Amino acid sequence: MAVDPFLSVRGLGKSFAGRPAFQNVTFSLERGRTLGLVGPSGSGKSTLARCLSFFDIPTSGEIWLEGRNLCALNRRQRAAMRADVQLIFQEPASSLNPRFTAAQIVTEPLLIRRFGTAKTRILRASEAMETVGLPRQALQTPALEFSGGERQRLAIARALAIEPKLLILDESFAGLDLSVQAQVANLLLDLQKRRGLTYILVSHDLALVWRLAGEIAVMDHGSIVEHAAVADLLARPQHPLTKELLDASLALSLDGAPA
Amino acid sequence: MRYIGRRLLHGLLLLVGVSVLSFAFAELAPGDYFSELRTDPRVSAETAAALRAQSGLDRPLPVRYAAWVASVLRGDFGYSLAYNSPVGPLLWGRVRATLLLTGTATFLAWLIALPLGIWNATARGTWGDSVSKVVLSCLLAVPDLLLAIVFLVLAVETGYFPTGGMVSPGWASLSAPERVLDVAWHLALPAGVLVLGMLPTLVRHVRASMAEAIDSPFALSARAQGIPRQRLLFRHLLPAAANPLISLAGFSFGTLLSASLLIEVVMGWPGLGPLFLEAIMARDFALVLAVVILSASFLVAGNLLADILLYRMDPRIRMK
Repeated sequence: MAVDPFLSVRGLGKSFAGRPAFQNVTFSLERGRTLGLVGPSGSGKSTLARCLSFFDIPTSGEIWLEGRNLCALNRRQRAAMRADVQLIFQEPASSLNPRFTAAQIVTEPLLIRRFGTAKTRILRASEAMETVGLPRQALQTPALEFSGGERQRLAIARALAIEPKLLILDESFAGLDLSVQAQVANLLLDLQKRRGLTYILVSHDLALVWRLAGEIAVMDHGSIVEHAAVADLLARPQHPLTKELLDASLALSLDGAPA
Repeated sequence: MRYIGRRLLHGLLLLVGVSVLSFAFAELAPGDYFSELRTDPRVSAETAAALRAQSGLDRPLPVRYAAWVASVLRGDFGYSLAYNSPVGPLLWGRVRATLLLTGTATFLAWLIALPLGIWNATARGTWGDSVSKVVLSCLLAVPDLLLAIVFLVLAVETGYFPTGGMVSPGWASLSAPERVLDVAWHLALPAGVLVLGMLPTLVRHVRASMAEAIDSPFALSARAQGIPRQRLLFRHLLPAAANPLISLAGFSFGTLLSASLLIEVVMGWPGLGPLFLEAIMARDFALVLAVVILSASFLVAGNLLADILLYRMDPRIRMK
């Protein structure tokens, strides 16, 4: 009998008032790997990301994480599960409460899970801050005094502080300048190497995703139309949409960077 | 502190402006308290002129204004010709009655509007929200005066509520708890009308600012963190929704003296309203001016209060 994969999604679907945002999505992902989820706007990839983290409740199908069916959990078990799966939103810069300090932001997920004492929480927070390359002294700084790139790191630090197993980044790179994108990308790769984190990267930008992801799923009109390892996908794109996305990002990277 | 000082100065200047303008407008309006006398054949023109001179109405405008300011500083607020007394003592009892009415109504309206608006914002799109929307829209469309009349008719028909006044005859002989109950009984109808009048605006504002807070990216991400509802509401959503509501609360406070004037007249509440109306009819200028200035002071104070609260609550304002 084959060992269960780390994450297995089977026939997942979500409808809003009878209109499907995506349907019959099936894929699996091994621990420590990165799946890139690409597709045009409106293809359902953000909704899929929200369902995978149980921010939205899927209307059909199953999500199995480490051999547990997350869809069958009750509310309490699901709340505990949230620590394992962390979702980082679009525009992470505005996903932080502007009234909170960095310390309040990073320790809050720990606090609501009654993790340790105030002291150990702060310790954990300052470790997380260090991991993402923010100075420990910045813990007392109000969120709104950080720059866009720093807030992005803060959002990652908050997600990391409770030591998740699966990190879902929904267009979290959008709006960051290229050097910050590169820094955060390197940070993610480094964390994956050290902690064996598993990522799902949602983006419409294929060029960004193929640098980080081992495999890529292309979504269109609510379905996964192609799912392959990055090398295969780049060498032999099957679906017309994949070719289109590939051409677009090749054109961009050839025009833009000085190699 | 400098910020608050600046706002205070601003408010004082505003009050001076209001008083100067009120003086100027009163001057523009034809006639004064003694105009009626001229139509009375028993009073000679000389007598009328002498009365005017005696009351100081023939002095130039700046002189009268200076005299009035001095009187305000003494707490007299000018001299009422109709009551033949300084305005101050006439006002205080009336102000107390008005504040009792509007204070109770405003407090109750907020007490209902806050949970209702929050609930509406979380239940957007459900039939409960739609029903509440329709009811509130109807309330908004019905003039307060019509409500007052309907309430009065109900009071007369059923006899369950008094149709005017603040206390029953023989109130002084009642025990303390009975007195409170009696006032509350008299208060119920006018306060009810005011609450119904304030409710639609308040609920809509609470709903709108809560909806904005709920939809803001940081609230979404807080929910994705799995933060429990109660903590989400009190630590994240309410502080985020508070700013427009604090401004609105300041305005609520500011209208305490003016919100109920008409309702008081119609429903026979012995507050500032009936006094103000009589003073206007009689052209008892000092009394009118005192009410105007007091109302304006409340408005200024309400805004100032809101500004101070905002300044304390919101780090983004402090940083500027």
